[in-house]
Amino acid sequence: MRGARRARGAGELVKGVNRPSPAGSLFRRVGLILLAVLAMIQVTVLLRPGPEDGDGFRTVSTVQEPDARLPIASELGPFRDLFGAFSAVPLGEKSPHVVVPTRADRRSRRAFEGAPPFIPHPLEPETERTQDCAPCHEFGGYNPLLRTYAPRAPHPEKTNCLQCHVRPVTTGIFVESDWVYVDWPPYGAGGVIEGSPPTVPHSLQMREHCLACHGGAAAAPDIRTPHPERFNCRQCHVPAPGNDEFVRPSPVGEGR
Amino acid sequence: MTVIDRRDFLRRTALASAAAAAATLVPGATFGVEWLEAQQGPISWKKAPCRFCGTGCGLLIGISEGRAIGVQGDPDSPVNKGLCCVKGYHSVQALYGRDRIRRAMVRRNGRLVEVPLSEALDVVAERLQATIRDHGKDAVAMYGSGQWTIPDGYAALKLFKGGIGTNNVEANARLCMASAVTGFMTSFGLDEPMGCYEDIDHADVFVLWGNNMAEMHPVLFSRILERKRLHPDVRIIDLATRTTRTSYASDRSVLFQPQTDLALANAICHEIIRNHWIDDSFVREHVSFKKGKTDIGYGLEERFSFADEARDADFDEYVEFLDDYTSDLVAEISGVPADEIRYLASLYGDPAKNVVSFWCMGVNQHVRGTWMNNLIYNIHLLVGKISKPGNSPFSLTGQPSACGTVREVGTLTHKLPHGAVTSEDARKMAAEIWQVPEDRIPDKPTYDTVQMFRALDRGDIRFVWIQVTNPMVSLPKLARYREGALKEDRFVVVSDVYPTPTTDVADVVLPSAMWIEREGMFGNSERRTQHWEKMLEPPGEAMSDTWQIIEVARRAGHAALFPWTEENHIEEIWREYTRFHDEPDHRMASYEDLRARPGVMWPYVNGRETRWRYNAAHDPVADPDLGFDFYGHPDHRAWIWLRPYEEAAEVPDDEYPFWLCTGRVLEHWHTGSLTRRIPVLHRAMPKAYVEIASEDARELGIVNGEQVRLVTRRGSMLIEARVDYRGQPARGQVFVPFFDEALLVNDLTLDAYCPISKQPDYKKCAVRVERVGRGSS
Repeated sequence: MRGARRARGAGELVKGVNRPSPAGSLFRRVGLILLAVLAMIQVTVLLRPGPEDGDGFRTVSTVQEPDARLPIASELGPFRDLFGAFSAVPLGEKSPHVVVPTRADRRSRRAFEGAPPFIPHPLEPETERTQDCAPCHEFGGYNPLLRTYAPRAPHPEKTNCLQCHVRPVTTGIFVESDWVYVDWPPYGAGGVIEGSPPTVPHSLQMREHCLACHGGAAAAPDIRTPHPERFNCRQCHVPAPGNDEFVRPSPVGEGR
Repeated sequence: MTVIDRRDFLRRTALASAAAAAATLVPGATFGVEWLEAQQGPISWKKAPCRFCGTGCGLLIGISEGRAIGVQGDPDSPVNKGLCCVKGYHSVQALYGRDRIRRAMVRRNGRLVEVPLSEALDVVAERLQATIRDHGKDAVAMYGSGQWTIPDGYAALKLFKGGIGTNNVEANARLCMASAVTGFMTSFGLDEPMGCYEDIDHADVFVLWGNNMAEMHPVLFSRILERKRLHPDVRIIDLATRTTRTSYASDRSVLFQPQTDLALANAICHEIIRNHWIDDSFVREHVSFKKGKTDIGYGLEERFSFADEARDADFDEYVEFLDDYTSDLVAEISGVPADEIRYLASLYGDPAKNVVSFWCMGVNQHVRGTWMNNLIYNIHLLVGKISKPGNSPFSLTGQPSACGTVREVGTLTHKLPHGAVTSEDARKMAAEIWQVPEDRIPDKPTYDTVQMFRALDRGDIRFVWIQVTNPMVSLPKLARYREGALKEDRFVVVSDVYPTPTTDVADVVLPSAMWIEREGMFGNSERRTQHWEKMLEPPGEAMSDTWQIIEVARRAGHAALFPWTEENHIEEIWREYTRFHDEPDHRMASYEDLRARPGVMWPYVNGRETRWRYNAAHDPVADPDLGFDFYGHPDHRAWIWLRPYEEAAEVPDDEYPFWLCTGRVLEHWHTGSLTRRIPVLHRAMPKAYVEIASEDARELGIVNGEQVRLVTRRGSMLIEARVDYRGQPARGQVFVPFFDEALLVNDLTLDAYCPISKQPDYKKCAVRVERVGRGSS
C-alpha cells in the first residue's frame, strides 16, 4: 500500500505552492477563496471516475501524471532492454507515480493461477481488429490516458494477443458457475532454508521473462524483486522442488 | 463453500504440526506451511486434447482433490507446443456450470421430470424397439457430432448399422466438413490432408481462403505469425468476403464477392498456365483431368438426390475450359482487381516459394463446397506444391474429432469404418469384425443430415437420438426442423451436459459425462489421434455417451455386440476399431502408444508417423519408383477437376438486398452451450450482433449499437448493429455469429446445400436490413 500513500502526497505538493498570504484581509479573503477553489479542484481530481469505473472491476488508486523532474526514466531501464542501460532503482520505492496492483487485482483478472488475465481496460474498437497492443505492452511504461503503468507482456513475440486475453464488456453471467479458484502456487513460497533464495513456484510457460511480472512499476508489490538489476534470475531461483526423493543407488558391491 | 473451508483448515492444521515436527529434526531450516503445501504437490497434471476446435491442442489439466483447477498448454504436444487460446485455457470451467444436467429426465404430461437413469434408459430402449416394430428400422436414427469421442461414434455406428441394420447415422460434421471429405475423395480418392501442421514451419506463403484463422484457429494462426516473425519474407494473404483480425494481421487482404471464389480459383489456374508456371513433369506424371456434371442444383427440393459422374478430360480441354476465367473477366465477377489475381497466381507459381493454403467453413459451407475444395487442389497440383514440407493444401476442421470420429469411424449414412456401405468389400469386412450377418448392413445410404431432419418432419423418421450436439441452434432454416421435432409421435432423445434448445424439444434427456469425466480419444485435423484418461467423476448420474449406447443396446437385444465391461470398454473398442484400419495407408497407433504420447498421427507404420502422405520420401505406402503416388485412385494419380463458377442458391435482389453470412467468434465455440458457461468468455461476448459495413449503416441511418431488424424469406429477428467493430463486412453484406440461442440466426438461413457433399451453405443467403426507428412497424 506504499504506492497509495505516495499518491496521496500529491495534495501536499499543491498546498505548498499555494500557501495563503498572511498579509491583509483582502489577501486573506482571496487566499481563502483560492484555497476553496483548489480544494474543489482536488476533490474533482481525486474523485474523478477512473477509466474502469462502472465495469465492476477494482479501480486502482488515483495517480498523478508523471513529472518531468522525477526520475521516470529510471523505471524504463528494465523495461527497455535486459542488457541495455540498467537502473538499480527499486521500482515503486522512489517514484510516486506508481499504481499499485494488489494481489486481489491480480487474482480478480484470472480464472485460476496461470490463466491468461483478461484485459482490465477499455479497448478501442479498432484494437479489436488490429490487436495493436505492443505500443503499451511491448516494453511497458506509463500510459497517461489510463493513468496507470502498463505491464510488460512476458511474451511480446506473440502478437495474436486477443487469442488469449479478452475484454469483458459486461459483469453479467450466463449461468452461475461452481468453479473454485484454488490458490496455487501459494504466495510467498519461500526458500528451503532460512535466507535462501525463494524457488519459482509456478510454471515458466509463457512467463520466461521474469521481470515482466516481478519488476517494473506495474508489478504487484508482494512479488516484486528487490534487486531488478540482477537479471540472471534463474541463477539463484530454481523451479520449486518436486516430490521426487533422492535415493542413492545401491552401493557398488553391496550384497557381495 | 463451508465444506471446502473446513477441509482446508484441517489440512493446514495437519501441515502446521508436520512443519513443527520437521523443524525439530533439522535445526536451522524453516518449513513454513506454504512451503510444505508447495511440496505436497496436491495438483496432478494430466494430458488431454482440448475439448473445442479441430486444431486439437494438447492441454495439461490440473486436478486437485477431485476437481479440475487449471489448464496449461502441453509443451510436449507437437500441435500447440504449449500455447492455447482463451477457450482452451478456460475449457475446464465448462465442467462447472451450475445447471449441469445431473439426472435423467423423461417428458410426462408435457413436462420433463427427473427419473433414475436406469428408468430413462429403459424408456429409450423400449421406444427404440417399438418404433422399429411399428414403422421399420429406417424410422429410427442417431445424430451425433465431431464432439463424439472415437468410442462414442464407434458404438453408435455398430449399434445402428451392425445391430439394428439401418444407415440412419449422421453427425453435425455433415454441416461442418462434408465438402472437405467429398473434396478429398474426388481429388485423391482418400479422405484427410496429405500434409500436417508442420507444413507451417516450412512455408513461405500462406493463402487463407475465407478463413478467419486469427479467431477460429488462433493457435495455428499464432504458429503462422511465429513463422513470419522468424522469417520476415513470409507472406500471409487473406482471401475473404469481410475484413477481420486475420486481414489486419496479414500482408495482403483481398476481398471477393460471395460465391466468386470458384471463379477466382480458376483464374489463378488460368494465370499459372498462361505464364508457364505449371510444373510440367509433375502434372504429366501424377495428374489426371476429370469433369463432372454441371448446373447441379441446390438440394432445396424435398427429396432431392444427386450423384456426380467423373468423366475423363485432358489437359487441352482443361486449358480451353479455363479460357472463361481470364483475370479480366473474373475481376468483373469477383470484384478482385486483375492485378491482384495475377499476384496471387505468381505466389502459387513461384518455384522458389513453398505455399500452404488453409480453409475451413468459408469453402466447406458453400453450395459448391466440393467444387471449391477441388479447385484449391487444382492450383496446388498444377504447380506440384503438394505432399512436400511447406507445400500443402490444408483443410481445417471445426470440431475436436470431426476427423477422428466422424470421418475415420464413419458416422455418416454412407460410411463404414473402412469404406462406404455401397461397397461389398466394406460391408463384408464390417460384418466379419462385428460378427453379424453380412446382409445386416444395408447397401444404400439413407438420409444426409438435412434430409434426416426433413424425414423427421415428414414422419418417415419417428425416433431420433441426438448426442453431444445442438441441432436446434445449428440447423439451417431452423424453424421448420424445430416444428418437425415437436410434432406428435416424434420421439427425441437428447444426451447432453447442459440444457439447450435441443433438450427443450426432447422426450428423454440423458445426463452425459463430459470430456475428462470419462476416458476417450479425439482425432484432429492433421490425422492425429489423442487419448485422455478419466480424470474426474461425472456429476450426479451422468454417464459417458459410449456407455449410454451400450446400456441401451443391451436393453434392446444387442448385448452380443458389446461384450465389454465398464473398465475395459474403451481399450477394447480401440482394439476392435483399429482392425478396420490395419493397412499401412491408415494404420493407427496402439492403445499403449496413445496413452503414452501426447498424440500420434496416422498412418503410423513401424513406429513412425507419416507426415506427408503420397510422397515416397515420407510415406511407406507410396511407390518409390513413382516419387509421388496418389494411391487413393486406381490410376495412382490426383485428379484435377473442371469445375465452373455457378451462382449461389439465393442472390440478393431488390427486396432482400444484402448477403447474410453467419459464423463463429473467438470466444464461443459452435452453439456456445459450453463456452457461454465460462464466465470470462460470456463476459467478453455476451450476445450476438450483426456487423454492417459503415457505408451501408450510414445510408440506412443505422448507428452502432442500435437495434435493427433482419428479414429473410424464412424469418426475421431484432438484433444489435455493430459498425466498424471486430469485423467489417464489405458493402452489401452483413455478418451474424450463430452461437446465441436467444438470437437464432438460423431461423433466417437457407437450407440449400452442395449436391455432392450435402453440406448446407450458411454463408450466403439474401437478407433485408431494416432500421427500427420510432414510428416504424
